[in-house]
Amino acid sequence: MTRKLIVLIFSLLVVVLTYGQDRIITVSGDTILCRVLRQGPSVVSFEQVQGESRTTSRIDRSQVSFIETGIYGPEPGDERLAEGRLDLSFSGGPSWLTASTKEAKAQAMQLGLTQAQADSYYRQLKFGWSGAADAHWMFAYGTGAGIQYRFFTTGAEEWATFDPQDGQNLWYGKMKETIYIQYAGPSLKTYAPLGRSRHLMVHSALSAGWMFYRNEVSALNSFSLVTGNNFGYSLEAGLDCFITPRIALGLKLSLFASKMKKVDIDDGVSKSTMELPKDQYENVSALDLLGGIRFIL
Amino acid sequence: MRKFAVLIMVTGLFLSSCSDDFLEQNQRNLTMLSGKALLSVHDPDPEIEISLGLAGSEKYHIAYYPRWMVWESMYGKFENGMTTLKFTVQEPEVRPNPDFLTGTVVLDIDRIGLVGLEVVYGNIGNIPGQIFTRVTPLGGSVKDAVMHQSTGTLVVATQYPNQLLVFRPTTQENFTIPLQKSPQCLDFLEDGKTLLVGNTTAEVTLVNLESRSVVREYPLDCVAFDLVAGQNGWCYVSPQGDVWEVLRSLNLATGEVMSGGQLMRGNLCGNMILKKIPGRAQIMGTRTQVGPTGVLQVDISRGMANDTLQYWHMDIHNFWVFRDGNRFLAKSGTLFPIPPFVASVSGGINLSEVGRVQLPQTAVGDACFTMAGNTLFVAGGNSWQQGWTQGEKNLIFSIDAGNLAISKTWEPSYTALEVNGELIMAYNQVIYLFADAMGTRLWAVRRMAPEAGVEQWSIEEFEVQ
Repeated sequence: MTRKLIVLIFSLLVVVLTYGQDRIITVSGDTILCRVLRQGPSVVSFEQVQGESRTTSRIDRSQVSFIETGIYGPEPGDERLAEGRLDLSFSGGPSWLTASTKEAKAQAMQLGLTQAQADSYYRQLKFGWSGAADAHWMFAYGTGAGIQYRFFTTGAEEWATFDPQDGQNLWYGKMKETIYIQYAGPSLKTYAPLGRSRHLMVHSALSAGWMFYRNEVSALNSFSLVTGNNFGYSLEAGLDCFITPRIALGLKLSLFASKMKKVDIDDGVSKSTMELPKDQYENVSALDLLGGIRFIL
Repeated sequence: MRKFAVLIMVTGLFLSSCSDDFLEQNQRNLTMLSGKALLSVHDPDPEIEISLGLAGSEKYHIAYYPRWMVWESMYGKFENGMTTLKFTVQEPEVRPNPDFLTGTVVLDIDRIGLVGLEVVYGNIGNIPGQIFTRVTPLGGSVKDAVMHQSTGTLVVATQYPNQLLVFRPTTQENFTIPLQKSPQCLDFLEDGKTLLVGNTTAEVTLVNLESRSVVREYPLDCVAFDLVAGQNGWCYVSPQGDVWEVLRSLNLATGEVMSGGQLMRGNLCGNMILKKIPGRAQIMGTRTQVGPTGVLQVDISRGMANDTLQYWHMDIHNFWVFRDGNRFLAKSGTLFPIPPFVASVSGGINLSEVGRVQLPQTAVGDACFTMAGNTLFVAGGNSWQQGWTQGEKNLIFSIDAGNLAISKTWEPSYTALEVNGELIMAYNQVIYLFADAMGTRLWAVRRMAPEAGVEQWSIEEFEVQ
């Protein structure tokens, strides 16, 4: 599943980034690097960027030998992507944990939850909310390096009767978990205008860093704090729409992946560390759909 | 500068993941309330009232409970520190204690934490703060009890204080008649309005229930251990004592006391149990201090007891005569015939068994009959002598007087008793058992088990239907 998502996101990046600049070859053999705006029967209109100013020009059809479109890299003239810019982005939105809950449901049902209660509990737990912030410094045109931070939280709560299997008594109470996952790491980000629009821009980012996990578990009247950390990585692709020359609203799809091999458990009385078997690694990978705001400074 | 601010924010967020505030906020301690919540099977709507001033008006939920309790709601709210838990009882598949369902109920109260209490559910006849009309406590030490079925009057004689406790369940007319002398034995006269009381001193007292007063005292030359109103103007008294004795015949009209002769002296000794045989001018008796206890049949057709007895040399310990006057039930549950009276001392021939009530316990404590005599009610137990420990409660059986089949069983309720600060459930021994004329209601006069260390008496009522 994760691998398929990575392939999908990369494919999207290839599509959105491999648009190009146009080139008009004149009959005299000169080359005009530009963006063709319109090709009429008698004239061809095009736009050129010089520094921060744009100029629109025309050339007679009779002077044009042929036109090549989209064959070069990003247009170097977009000053928002120029080297030395600082890109700040803040976003948030829903998230879905991608891990399977089949075994966890079975265990919960052994404790006394009904099928419906177990389904409800893990449905709640799989859906959460993410917030992200990143800052990137453009070290080359359209390419930035920086830091990415991601915060994710989810929780589930179910009231149920639990059977301690002693044949005599029953427990009734709340099974509740609140999970907090924080991640930070260095990242690389690329940007490019989408087609000929000045308002739309796509980006993609890849980050690898460290994940911190915290799960506040209350089962009936016992409370445990489960913590852990591990390596994680994030991959994202997004689309921004500039509402001012330097401020954009955007939407992005992000895949965060990480698994924990051991956890620390603190029940308020004693603390222990549990090495998890390979087939029971705590998978905290998630798919995020985030909306946010971007500032280019 | 802006980049530095982001770095500080991220660091702060990570540090928060190490905080253990969550555990500190959720430290839980269980506080057990003192005492136990007693719940009776006789309460059709059982509930537990909890008074916990600290709880104010906090909300709570029931966090832990025995599975036999099925709650009306798992949630509740205290009002001025009071709340009521309502539930029904579901019989568990496994019952560790056959007599009681027990367990611990734990409430999770907002801002207070876990508060637990122990619960005991069973056949308990006295729940503090609740009144069950089926159990009536009796003051004093009960010495004898009789019932006049036609008028539905039950009279209990007690010492400490000396009194007659009179119950008329159908009319709810209950009253007490104080006595000057200590009563020891009782019997109704035929009218159901007067009764004879044998005292611990040498006289018999005639008490009128209408005027609620002593109307006459008959001097005796002995202390009455037991007496029988012959329904013929005479009273027959078995003397108290441990030597060979004779019956006394008391003429109720004249007050004359006649003693049996030498023939009688050879078979009677003190402390003999006497019973009237219905439909016959005869009484029967058995001795309590010699073995075999013997079966004695006495002719009273001439008023004064005939000096010549009919005697069978066998152990019956105690006995109850059937309404038809032809059979009696011995303490062992065995039925024997009552032969016609023949003025001779039979002696060596035992009566043949004509039936046996198959009781799960070894001895009959008391027995009674419906007016028609078709149903026999028996209080069974394992104690062969009154006041002895038997280690378990009695059972009460409804028995067909014809085929001796047991049709129904009742268990006397337990008495909750606090001894040295500990709550104990004391079983009760049924000493006297009475039925109304139609056999629709039973009354058991019970004494708390001797091992409880407290002599407490009560009457428990049972619905037969």
